[in-house]
Amino acid sequence: MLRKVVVAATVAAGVVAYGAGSLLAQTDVIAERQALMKQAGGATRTGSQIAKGELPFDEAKAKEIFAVYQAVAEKAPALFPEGSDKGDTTAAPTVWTDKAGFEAQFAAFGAAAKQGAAAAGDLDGFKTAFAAISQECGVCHQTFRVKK
Amino acid sequence: MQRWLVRALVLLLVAAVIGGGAFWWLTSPDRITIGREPVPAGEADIANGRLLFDAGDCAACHATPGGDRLHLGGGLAMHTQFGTFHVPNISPHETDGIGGWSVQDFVRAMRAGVSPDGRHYYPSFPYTSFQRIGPKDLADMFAYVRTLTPVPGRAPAHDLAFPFSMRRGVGLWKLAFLDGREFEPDPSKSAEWNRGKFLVEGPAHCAECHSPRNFAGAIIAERRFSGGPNPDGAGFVPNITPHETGIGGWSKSDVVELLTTGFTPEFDSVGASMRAVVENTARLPPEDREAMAEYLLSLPPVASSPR
Repeated sequence: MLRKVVVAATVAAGVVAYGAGSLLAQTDVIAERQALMKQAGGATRTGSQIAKGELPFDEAKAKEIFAVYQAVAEKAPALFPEGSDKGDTTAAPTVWTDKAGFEAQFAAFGAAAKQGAAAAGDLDGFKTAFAAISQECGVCHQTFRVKK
Repeated sequence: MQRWLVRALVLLLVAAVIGGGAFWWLTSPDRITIGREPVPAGEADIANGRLLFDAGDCAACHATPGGDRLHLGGGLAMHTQFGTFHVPNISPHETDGIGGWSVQDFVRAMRAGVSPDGRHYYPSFPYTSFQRIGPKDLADMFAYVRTLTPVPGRAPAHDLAFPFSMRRGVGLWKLAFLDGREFEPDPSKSAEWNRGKFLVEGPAHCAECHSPRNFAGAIIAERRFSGGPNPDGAGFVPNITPHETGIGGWSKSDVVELLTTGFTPEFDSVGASMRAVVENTARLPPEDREAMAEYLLSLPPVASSPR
């Protein structure tokens, strides 16, 4: 009898610990993807300042913006695992109901970022590429993020 | 049967007939005089009509989902707590759209929410804001819509829960929430502020989503523009008053930037249905976006309701 109780208690404790662990992991993954999106926002701020002439054009800096976008496109899809729709997140349910569409958006965004980097050798090339890719933020948010 | 019981039943019946009659009379679309204002004679200004059409984000709801933004065949489904609204065809198609309407029909629909065949529209069509637009501007909008492509096809009927399925009940709602007052400029304010107020409160109908609503589905006046739960799905529509929980600390150019590119001062890009709104506001002349920003930043700061 006692043994049964001990076994049951151990199993229960294990389940609770596992549950808490996965909850924690999800909080982490939400924080992680939010930080990643903030990086994209930071790059966009710099890009916008260069495009408006508030910052001087600098080829290295311009290319760095697209490098950040490319990194975001590569890392982001893995940060939306099943079950991470709960918690302090504004990710829309469509992220999980249309996973293929969601991942295709990031693939397209990554490809556009790569092309953008190649085109950013001068101010005009940068402006055109930046204007196009910065539209992609909103296109994706329209479908895959709820109002906040 | 006992006499008192017979009397009570007769009394109840009389009360029901009087009550029903009063309801029918009070809710009659014909009783509403709003939207019967004469349209000034003369040629319509189609450029002004297009500007107001863009400011009004008409395409954001009425364009057939997935198609050209100027193909106004309708069909978007709006899922709300009252049920599902199916956005109608407002393309100039003769039978399925508004191609058979007179300009007066259009003014009446926009300002009073009454259809040419004398029925109430539900306030999911934001005529509470559009009533601020005068007949001349509305005639210009109508003239512009008539230049667009006629699209065949009709959206399904709305699918609403009782009692909201009783269209006549909208008449009661209008008694409380429709005043028919056209926008009046405030001479003590700048021309820019007045233009901004007209655009924000009238065609752009910002308050319709960016305000909390009461049990009857009407905007809570003192919390206007302070954000609220998304009436059409998940999420929270942001506070757009200059309060620290809203756009407090934003500069005029920050607001203009959002209405032009969709980026907030943190370079987050607005999502969900605001995306379609920005596609429309981006088409406005820059001075109109500046006017909207001027007015929004002059609003009394109101804290967001708890999420």
